[in-house]
Amino acid sequence: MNSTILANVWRFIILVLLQVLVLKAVVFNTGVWAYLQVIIYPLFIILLPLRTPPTLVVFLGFVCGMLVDLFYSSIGIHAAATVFIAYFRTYILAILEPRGGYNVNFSPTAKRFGFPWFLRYAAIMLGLHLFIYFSIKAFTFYYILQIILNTLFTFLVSFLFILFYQSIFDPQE
Amino acid sequence: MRNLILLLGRYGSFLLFLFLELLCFFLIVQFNEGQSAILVNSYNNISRYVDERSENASNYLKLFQVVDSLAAENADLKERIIAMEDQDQGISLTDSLPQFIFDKAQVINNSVRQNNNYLFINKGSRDSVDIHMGVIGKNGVVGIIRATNDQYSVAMSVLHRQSRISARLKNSNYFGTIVWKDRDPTQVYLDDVPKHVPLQKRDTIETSGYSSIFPPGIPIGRIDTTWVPKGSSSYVARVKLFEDLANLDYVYLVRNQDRKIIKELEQSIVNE
Repeated sequence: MNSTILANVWRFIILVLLQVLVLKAVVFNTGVWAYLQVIIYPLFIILLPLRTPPTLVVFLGFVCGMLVDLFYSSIGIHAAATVFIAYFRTYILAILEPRGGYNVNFSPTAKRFGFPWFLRYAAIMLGLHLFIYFSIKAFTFYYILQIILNTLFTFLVSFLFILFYQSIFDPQE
Repeated sequence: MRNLILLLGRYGSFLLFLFLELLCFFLIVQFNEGQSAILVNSYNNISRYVDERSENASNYLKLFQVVDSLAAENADLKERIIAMEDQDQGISLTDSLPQFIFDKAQVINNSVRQNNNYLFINKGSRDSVDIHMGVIGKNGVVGIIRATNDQYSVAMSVLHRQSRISARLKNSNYFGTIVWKDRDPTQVYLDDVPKHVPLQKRDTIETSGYSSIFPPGIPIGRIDTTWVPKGSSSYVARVKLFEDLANLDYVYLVRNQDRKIIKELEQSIVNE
């Protein structure tokens, strides 16, 4: 129990630091690469233990997003997107529920539920997060094409990073 | 209190989600220049859109008043035209009072498909509408008032089996009677025009003013075909009406101020 909390606290710290100190610097100014950012901190919400109360997930989403926002100087934008996926995590998990149901003591990791399952789950969560994030960043659907391009490029690279993270740490909790 | 806690337990995450998203929205527009500019711009767009719509709507509503006042003005102008024509021809003996008074009114019920068609008009004796007043549309003759009550009146349409309107050839004094014979609401017949009159297709027919209902010179229609029935000494002419009687809204009621005097005179001959 305590080890689960500790693992999540560490993951929170590592992901946020990685995001705001390293990945924030990854920006390109030329061509289609300008659409690209690397965003991996939603992995914290993705990997929260299944038995975390939904209310707490939403709250942690807000804290996490707001912290990233402070460094990106975009108060509220990351937070709004993260709160969004934090709330809908419950429903996405319900849709992806394996035949045998979940063991609520587990975290939704590749180790527990298999790599293909995790791939789908993480892809939906990250894709949703990025789409919401870029929509709110544009603040209008007038630039829907740019929003989609942003989402697509950022998703491809960020997802690689997430898989990378997954293969390095291969967390159980 | 217990219920409140239960409610929070069940919908807590949703309420928190809603609250935090609203908070984020507030923070976004508070602290991010680009987004707040977009918000202000959108707000302006929306309010402009709403303003335009509401102005259109109120303009549309105003139109009814405008139409009403224009119709009143038209009635006034028609009155003055008739009076001036009379003066030009030296007919008018009294300069002070015009012989024909016009008033505007609206048709509230109409029929054209019956054997005897009537129009209902939204003015009655309260507005000094009287029987035997003429009803004129914007293109020509429509009918004659047959009955009134306080607020409304009924007019016998031209499209009535008993409708007889004295008519003449434009720019001449050859006259006949307009009657409605078939069931076509767009055409009437001009009877009783003597055979020697140079009646031709496309001649314009107007009121003669002999019936003391309509002023002379109100247009009625245009001759479509003419023929002389066998053994008859007068023409029958089919006349296409100018006024579309199936599509009436505003009409003008015309009162002949001298009708009473003229009728008294007629009576004195009959009584002889």
